[in-house]
Amino acid sequence: MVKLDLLAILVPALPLLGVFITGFGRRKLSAYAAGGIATAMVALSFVASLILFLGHDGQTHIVHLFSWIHVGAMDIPFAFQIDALSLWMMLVVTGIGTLIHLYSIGYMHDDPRVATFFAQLNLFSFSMLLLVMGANFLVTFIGWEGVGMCSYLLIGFWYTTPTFNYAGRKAFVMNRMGDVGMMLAMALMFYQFGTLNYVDVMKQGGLMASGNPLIVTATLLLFLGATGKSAQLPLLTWLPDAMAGPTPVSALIHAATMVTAGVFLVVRSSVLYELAPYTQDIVLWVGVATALFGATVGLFQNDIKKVLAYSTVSQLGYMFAALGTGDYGNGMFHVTTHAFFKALLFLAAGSVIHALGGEQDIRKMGGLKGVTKTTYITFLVATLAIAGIPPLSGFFSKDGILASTFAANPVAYAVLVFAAMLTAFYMFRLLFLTFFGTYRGTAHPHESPKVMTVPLVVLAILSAIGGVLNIPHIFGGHSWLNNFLATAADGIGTAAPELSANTEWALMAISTSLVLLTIWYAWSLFYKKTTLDGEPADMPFLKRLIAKRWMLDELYAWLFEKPFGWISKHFFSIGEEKIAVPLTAGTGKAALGFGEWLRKVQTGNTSFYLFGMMVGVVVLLVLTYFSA
Amino acid sequence: MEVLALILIPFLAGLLLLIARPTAMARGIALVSTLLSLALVFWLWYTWTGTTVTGISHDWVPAWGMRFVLGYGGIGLLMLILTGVLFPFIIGTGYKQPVGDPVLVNALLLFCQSALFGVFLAQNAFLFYIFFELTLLPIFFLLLKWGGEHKRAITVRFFLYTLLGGLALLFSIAYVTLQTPAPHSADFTALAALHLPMHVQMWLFWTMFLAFAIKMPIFPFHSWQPETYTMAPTQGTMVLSAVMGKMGLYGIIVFLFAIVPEGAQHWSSVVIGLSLFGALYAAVIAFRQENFKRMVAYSSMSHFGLMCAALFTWNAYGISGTMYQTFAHGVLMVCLFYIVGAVAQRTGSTDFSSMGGLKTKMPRFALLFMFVVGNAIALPLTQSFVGEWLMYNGLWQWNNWTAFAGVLLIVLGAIYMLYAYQRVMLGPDRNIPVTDADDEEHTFLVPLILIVMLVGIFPNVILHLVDGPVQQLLNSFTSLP
Amino acid sequence: MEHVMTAIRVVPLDHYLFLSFLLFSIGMVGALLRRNVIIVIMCLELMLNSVNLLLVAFSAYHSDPGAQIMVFFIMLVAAAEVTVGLSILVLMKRNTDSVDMNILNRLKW
Repeated sequence: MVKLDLLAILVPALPLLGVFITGFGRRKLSAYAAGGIATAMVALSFVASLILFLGHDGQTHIVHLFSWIHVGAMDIPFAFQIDALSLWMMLVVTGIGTLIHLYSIGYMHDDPRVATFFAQLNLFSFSMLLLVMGANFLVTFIGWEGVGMCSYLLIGFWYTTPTFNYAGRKAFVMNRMGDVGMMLAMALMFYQFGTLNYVDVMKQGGLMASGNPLIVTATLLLFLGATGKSAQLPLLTWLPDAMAGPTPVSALIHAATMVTAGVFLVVRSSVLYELAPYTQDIVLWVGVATALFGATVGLFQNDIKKVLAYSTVSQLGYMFAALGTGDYGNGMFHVTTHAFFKALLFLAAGSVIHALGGEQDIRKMGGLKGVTKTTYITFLVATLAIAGIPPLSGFFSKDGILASTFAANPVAYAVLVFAAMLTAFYMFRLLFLTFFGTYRGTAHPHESPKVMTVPLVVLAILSAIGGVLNIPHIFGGHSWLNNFLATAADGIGTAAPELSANTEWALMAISTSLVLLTIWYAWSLFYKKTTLDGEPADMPFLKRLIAKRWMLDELYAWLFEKPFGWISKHFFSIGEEKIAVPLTAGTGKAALGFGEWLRKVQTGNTSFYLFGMMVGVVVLLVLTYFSA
Repeated sequence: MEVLALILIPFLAGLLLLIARPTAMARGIALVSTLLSLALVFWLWYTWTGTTVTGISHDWVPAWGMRFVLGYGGIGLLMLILTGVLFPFIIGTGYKQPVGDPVLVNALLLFCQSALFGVFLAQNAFLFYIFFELTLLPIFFLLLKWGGEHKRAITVRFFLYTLLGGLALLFSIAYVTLQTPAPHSADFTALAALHLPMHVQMWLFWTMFLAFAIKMPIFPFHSWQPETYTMAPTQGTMVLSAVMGKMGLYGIIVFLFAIVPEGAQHWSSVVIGLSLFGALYAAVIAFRQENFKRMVAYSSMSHFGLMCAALFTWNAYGISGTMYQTFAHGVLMVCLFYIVGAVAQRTGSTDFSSMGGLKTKMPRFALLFMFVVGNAIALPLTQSFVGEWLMYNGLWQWNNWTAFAGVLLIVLGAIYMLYAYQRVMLGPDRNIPVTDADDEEHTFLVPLILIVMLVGIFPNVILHLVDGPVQQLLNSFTSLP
Repeated sequence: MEHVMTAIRVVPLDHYLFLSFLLFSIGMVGALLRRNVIIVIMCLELMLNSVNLLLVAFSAYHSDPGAQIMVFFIMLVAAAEVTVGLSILVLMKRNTDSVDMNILNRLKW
């Protein structure tokens, strides 16, 4: 036990140590030293996680550090929970994290504030580890807010650009809107169960009847938190803007780890979600709608990172759709494979941007296949993986999700297959426009250094073979990840749908052939493009709407930002300047006016005063007489 | 005897300053005095055993029930700690951001501290009232002499406004003292033993609440606050927001909850409504302020609204959370106003329009500021988070929808604080001639940030103080007939 | 001393009451209506003395010497007051060449 405790503490403590070293030494450390230390810390953390993982005995261990908040009947410990789910997330976070830290050494080495960057990146790893390791909702919430703050800092890392700062604020505020739900859910659960420890909440919650309004409310509120963090409808517009941050940040935070926190939270509370079919439906449809939304908008984006961002939104939608059907195992599986290939896509995109000296517009790329070979090959692998081409990792996870949605709701299934086709289309459009054809820009492309390409290769391998983690029975596998996660504290990964083998084969054939068809279509459109037409002026309405991202940003501006500014302005100009202040000043003025009137009594005539005195005495006498 | 020393140390140090007029050493003497008080407060904390301690009990004007009784319980001790911890920093502000004659300024601040200690130590209602009003005098002169624009009008308004509240309080105290069995006593213990009839409690609640609502301030009684905070010199604003506002919350516990509990319970929904509305109202207004200091003033009002609302939820989480937050908010306000002062000192104005893009030239300062912003928006592991979490729990247990309204503050807080941070620090360098944080500013802000983090990670240090007294308070209420 | 008391008691108390009420009324009406400051001061004296008379009468009837002490106080205060009053009067006469009360009406508002 001692060893486990120590390792469990080391996992988040090492990145925190990295924060201190790189943070305090940010003026003295060279770029490589800071990057090396930061990477080493996360790598060591990965090793510790790996040791924990290998030594895992299928039990749930609570590592109790100290009592954090103790008031009255509330005793919230600062504790970690080591079980299959948290171990798996720890591996993903630290594993992908290590690669991205390594990559950042190359990507950021020219930046004057590179040590600060690594300190913030390490702080992010620390927060993310707290998030996944927390033994109760509140410790998770520490990480939850911590990653939000790091996201804010890193999006606005190049702080001299106002739009970047705006993007950072937008991300944080939208996350906070989700946190309203999270906060209320925690208050509700504490009120109901008297504890926030996952184990106890799930034990007590599991005893309640299905559809209990309390559970439904709690799960809905938690889901609101998840939509904010994981960029689901309606709280998703921050994620594309968040691409303002350095590309490794987009890869680590806004693709591989932080945005999956919402998925993690739902899986963590899966016992409650299982008891709230109403919420599950909402989760399913929000997921499906978001998958479609992201995929459609991705079609017309011209910024390489924006395409990937909408793709992330869309893929997160798939994960939530899986959770909505109760297929938590495949949801987590998709989290994992998505972390592989989306991190890879972002890093490869970063490599391209690096190669072109900061250019992000795909209209000014093209023909990079020959120059940046490693980047091209790895990007290709990732594209094939995300499109769901067998036998790459994305195929298995996406197919699992499609199968369980089919079992739950064929309409949702149809929408998701359509979204998968769109995914294939925009990804191959991106691939062809970037790497094929002829170069349309003016910079001098060059391949990135080894420190950047090595992580690409590792991730490419993982993206390619990641599917072996969870090979379904139909291929003769044993769904290893599902079974592993099922040993987690609350029994996750249940409810893999019972479909006949023929149905499963048919589903796979349908989706794969449709995707291949789409790829062919994209190939015919974009493969040999040497020039790109400008946007035609007379785009059809729907296309224009999609190109403008369904006007969601404008809608929110009109619906929230403007009214908020208006209220703020008028609360001040009316509430303060017209009511509150005049009221106080009015009281003073009234007193002055009364005095002005009353002073007339002072005539200066002594006889009048004397007379007044006499009248007073008489009145007093009369009063005394009558009161007696 | 220690309790008397607590009042006398700053008072005598202040007198010493006035008599000896050591211009060069004034701040040093004041600082030593406050550190001495701090040591004494820590000694009281260290020796505290969880009971109510009566240090001094002496007859004064027995005919009116006026007695000189000093002592403290857990909640009072927390207030003493707040005053003791913050005053060295408030005095220390003068090193870097001096205003006027150091002798007079520091003497006034010390007198103020003396009176504040008196308020939190007094165990007799009249004594409380006397100290309560005494705190006003030094602050009045501080504002009148070293305030900014329109200082006379604003100071007088502030003074009259708070005096009005004090008058209502004096009337209430006189009234309840006369209700005690002869010989009358205005000791808190005697007043708490009263069971006033319901119809009396109903109106008495408001005459008492008025004083505390103005002090904090709570929504319709706040119109003195933004202007006064904006105009006051930094040290004055710190005292007003970080410590003097807390007298309101403390008074609510000591007076309203003890003397008119049924009245307080009866009106709690009205008070929670007003407070929460005021909290949201101030948070919304803060967003559009063009003046940094005024924005912080509104944010302070917003926090007070939340604290007051949580206090009236009548459960352990709300009350403990509020008590905890008094400390957290005090530290936060000192940090924020220090930063406002430091930035304004460099740019020459507290308007946002004179700031922007400062981070390029002041990276260290920006980092310190970021920590403070994190505390202001209640990130977990900063001390504000624990308080807000407890207060939201209190609100939830009182009513789900009020909790929802309260939790909206985490969004609004993030909106205005991050916007302010951006307007001050971020953006392209505007070539404003500023210098980075120097060693003095580091020695000021770093300890405060350490307090913020340590108390945020180990909040039980503070929570243990209030846990017992709050339980007692709740028990005494439930055991009422 | 006792025979003085007896002498006072020869007259019934009602008469004293009536007389002092009469004197007081004359004094008050005079103080209210007359404009000459000298007359007003005299009227004030008259009112004071009417009260003195009443005090002495009650003192005798109740055999309580306390009231007589009060009389001495009043006489003392009256003397001091007249001193001040008359000096003001002299100054007033010198400065304004008049003893009309209504001239002194500038102390107002």
